[in-house]
Amino acid sequence: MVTEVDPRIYDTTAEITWCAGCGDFAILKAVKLALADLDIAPHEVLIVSGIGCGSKLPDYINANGYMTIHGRPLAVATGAKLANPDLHVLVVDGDGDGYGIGGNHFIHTCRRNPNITQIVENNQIYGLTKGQYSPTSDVGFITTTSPDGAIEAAFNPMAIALAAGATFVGRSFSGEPKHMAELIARGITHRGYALIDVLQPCVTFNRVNTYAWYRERIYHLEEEQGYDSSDRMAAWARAQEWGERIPVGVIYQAEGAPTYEDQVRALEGGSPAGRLLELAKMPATEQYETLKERFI
Amino acid sequence: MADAVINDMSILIGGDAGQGVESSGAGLCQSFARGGLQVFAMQDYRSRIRGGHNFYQIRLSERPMYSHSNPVHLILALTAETVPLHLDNVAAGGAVIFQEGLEVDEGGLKQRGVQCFAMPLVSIAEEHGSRIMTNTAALGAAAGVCEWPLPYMEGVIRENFQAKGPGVVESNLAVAQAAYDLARQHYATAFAYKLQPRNGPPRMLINGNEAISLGALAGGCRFISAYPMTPATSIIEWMAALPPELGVVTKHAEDEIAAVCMAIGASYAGARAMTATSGGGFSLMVEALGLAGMTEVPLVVVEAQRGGPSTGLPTRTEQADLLFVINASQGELPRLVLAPGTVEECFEAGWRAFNLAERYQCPVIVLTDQFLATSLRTLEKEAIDFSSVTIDRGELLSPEQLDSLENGYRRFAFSESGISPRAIPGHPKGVYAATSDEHDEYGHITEEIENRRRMMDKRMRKLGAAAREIRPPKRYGPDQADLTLVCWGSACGPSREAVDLINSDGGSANLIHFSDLWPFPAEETAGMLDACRRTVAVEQNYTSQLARLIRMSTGRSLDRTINNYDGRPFSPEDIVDELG
Amino acid sequence: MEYRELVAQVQKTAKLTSFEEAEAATLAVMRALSEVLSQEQARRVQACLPSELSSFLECCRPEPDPHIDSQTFIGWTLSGLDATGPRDKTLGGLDLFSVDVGEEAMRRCRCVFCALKACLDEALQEDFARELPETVCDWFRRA
Repeated sequence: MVTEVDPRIYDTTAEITWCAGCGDFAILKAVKLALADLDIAPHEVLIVSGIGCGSKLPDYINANGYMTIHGRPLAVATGAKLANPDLHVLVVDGDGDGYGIGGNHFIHTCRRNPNITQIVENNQIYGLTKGQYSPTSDVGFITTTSPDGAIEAAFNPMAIALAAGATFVGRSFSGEPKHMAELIARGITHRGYALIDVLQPCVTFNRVNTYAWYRERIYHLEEEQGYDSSDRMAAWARAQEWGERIPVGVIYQAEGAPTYEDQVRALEGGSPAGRLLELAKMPATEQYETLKERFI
Repeated sequence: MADAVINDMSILIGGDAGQGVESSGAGLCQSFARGGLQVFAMQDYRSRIRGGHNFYQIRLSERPMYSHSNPVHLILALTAETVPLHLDNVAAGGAVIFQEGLEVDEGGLKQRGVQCFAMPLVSIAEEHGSRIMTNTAALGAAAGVCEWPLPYMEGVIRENFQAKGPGVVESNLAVAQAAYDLARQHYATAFAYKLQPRNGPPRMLINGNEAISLGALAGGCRFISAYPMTPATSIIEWMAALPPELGVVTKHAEDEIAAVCMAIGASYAGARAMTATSGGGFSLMVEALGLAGMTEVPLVVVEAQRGGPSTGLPTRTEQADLLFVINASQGELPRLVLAPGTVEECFEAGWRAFNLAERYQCPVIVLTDQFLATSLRTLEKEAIDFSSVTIDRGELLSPEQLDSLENGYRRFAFSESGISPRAIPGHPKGVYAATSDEHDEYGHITEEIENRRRMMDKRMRKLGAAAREIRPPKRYGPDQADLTLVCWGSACGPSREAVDLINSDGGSANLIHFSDLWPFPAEETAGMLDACRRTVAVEQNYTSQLARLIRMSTGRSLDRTINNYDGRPFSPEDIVDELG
Repeated sequence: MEYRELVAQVQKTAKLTSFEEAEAATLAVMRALSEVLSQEQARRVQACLPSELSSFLECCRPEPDPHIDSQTFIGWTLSGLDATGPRDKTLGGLDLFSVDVGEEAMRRCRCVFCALKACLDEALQEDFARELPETVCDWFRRA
């Protein structure tokens, strides 16, 4: 068991393809800091991503990674976690991947509460495909697929996560890597599904939601006197805040709720991956003979 | 009375959806199986909760059967509609049991030599229990006219109604007895078809889905994620009902895409994982199939076909996804397709699929259909041979092998076979990232030309290795024949019985049957076909997909195809009739 | 130095066509600096800068975020630069010039640093540089 982890162990020599100034750099750093802070070694973590600029993160970090298909990392991560609950499982994907095409899995993961941490790189735009609007783009946002301005009301991930029963709802800003690292570490430590929506500028394609734009609007819930993050109704109220004031920090945390894996009886005696290792040595098929009686 | 025909008949129970036809039929089958008879039972039901005709057709014999058979000899008509629907499918000398007073075309029946056994089923039910027990009365009457000893039915009645309390059990038993006595008294002598119990070791009554589940379990599968879809639903339900000590994690996912992705994630993390669906669900899974193939993650998908296209005939059968499944997903990736044709083959495919998936680190699709998934057959206990099951994880790196790794782990290392040694995440030296993008040996994204060529070669080369494990088609019947039927999957049951019918009638026929379909066993197939005189494909689809696959792979054209796309399985008699 | 003078200096060094562009670059760098400078350092620097710029450093905290790197730093400048081109008819979306614009952002930042350096004495310059993220401090030292 590794007792002290230096964040540099997560560094690779991979050529990073993000634009200069991209908020993903800070997110990558924060992930490394968080993992190291928790003394999690590269082989003990699995980072699952979807498709998008930020979803290339697993390619730029020395850890187990799985860059899957658009919108599906939560499902893949959930399966991996159930097969081997000992792995720390993180999901990293963008706002389109996580809230658009991945929306259905997002909602049900909130209900399901697996012990997985999801970091959504929310830049309110589609970067990899070069500039279309996203579910979190504000109304009126002009892009190549919204030439007259986005029509739909913006997706509110904080509110939807709360409504769907998520037990940890947090938000951070990529301009504050220290805050991000702390929040990510808290999310990983939280027993259950943790959503960390990271507001990050896309310096190339999003000329509206810039570093300055976010800086002018975000305020820290940690600095709010008397804010109780275990109060769901208070969290609901904060989750509605957008536009002029945007809260960051832990919006909601319910401690003590059992995780999905805690409640799967079939996991009590071992994991699917672990049991298979034993079965491969000794198929022990006699134990199934009694099942034949069910058909007689 | 004509000479008795012992233990060689078919019974059909017909009624409305919502009238308990399925459980009545299943219960009757159970009683016959326990009495030592061989059973083949086929269900015909609708995609609705209530209303509309459905039926259960039970064939009984002393020898194993692989198909239902027409005509039937006894109909239990729970509705008036049942009679005209099956009028043309009752043998002369057969009979129909129905509620007296029900509007039944007695004249039409008698014209066909079919007897009318009117019974006061409702009043028997009401007198001894309640109206809801009318089915029990019908079943009792059926046993009565066939003179099948009632105790076999009583055992089933006790089990089926146990949960509802002793009062309900006793009432049902009384209803069955009363109906049995009355039917036997009035009609037995007029009915030539008799059923007599036979001694012997108890047999299982099992369908294709159950057999696959048993095979998967024995093969080490401890994870199944699925979304309910007829006719595959019973697979996850059966697994979910297993004792938790067996450790099978089952997940009813929010949709099929989640189901297949969870299975992929579970497999990536080191479990043997599967999903089960039908054509529509598989359609949703197609992109993820590519993910598994590209990232070389083992995956088992059971695709139980049903009538398409689109929602189609949800509760009916078809074999029209063959070419779809072989080609599914964008680009080109290695996959294996197994198409078991019998319940025994389903059991074997259940565990064999996982060995193949882990050995070749690719998706393996087990392609069945509603007919095979749900039809019940009696099977000797020994036919499900758990000791024959092996668990072979292919080139899985042991912790010791990982310990001795130097210079970084290459998950996708080039090799002669195309198979790379595989590490399960969790070992300090086996850290790697997989990506659905094209990648190098380490799993890093790259579009470099030389690497792309080599990586495509590597992945597709695995099929060459796998081809050695693919079984050639099997021949059934004489080595030489005038006519050769060619089929795949569940069509083999009716086809082999058709061959038997033809041969026993003085004709000359045999059968070539495929149960492994991809990579296609081209060489062996070409050799076998070249030795045939006349070939006829038995296609449970419109566009003759097997014939097209054979032509594409071998250049050989079959002489003829017979196509059935009405959602009902071929019967042996249908095939013989079509051949003319 | 006076504010307009400083910005004009930036414009000249960076060879920008307009005062507004130079101003935007200067203010972006000030905002980025406000994220990385400690309150103590900020007070020392504020005294040397024109009030229009020193006001940006009001919000500096006693302990700034130690993990802000050169990418986040330059992001403030990049947010204000147009890196997109016309429609990309091959891949969809807009064509991008982020490589060139990235280089340009760094160049402009260095030019702003040059102008700021002129306001600080050598000792202060070194203390200042030490509080800048890795790589950014090199830009400053070499400006």
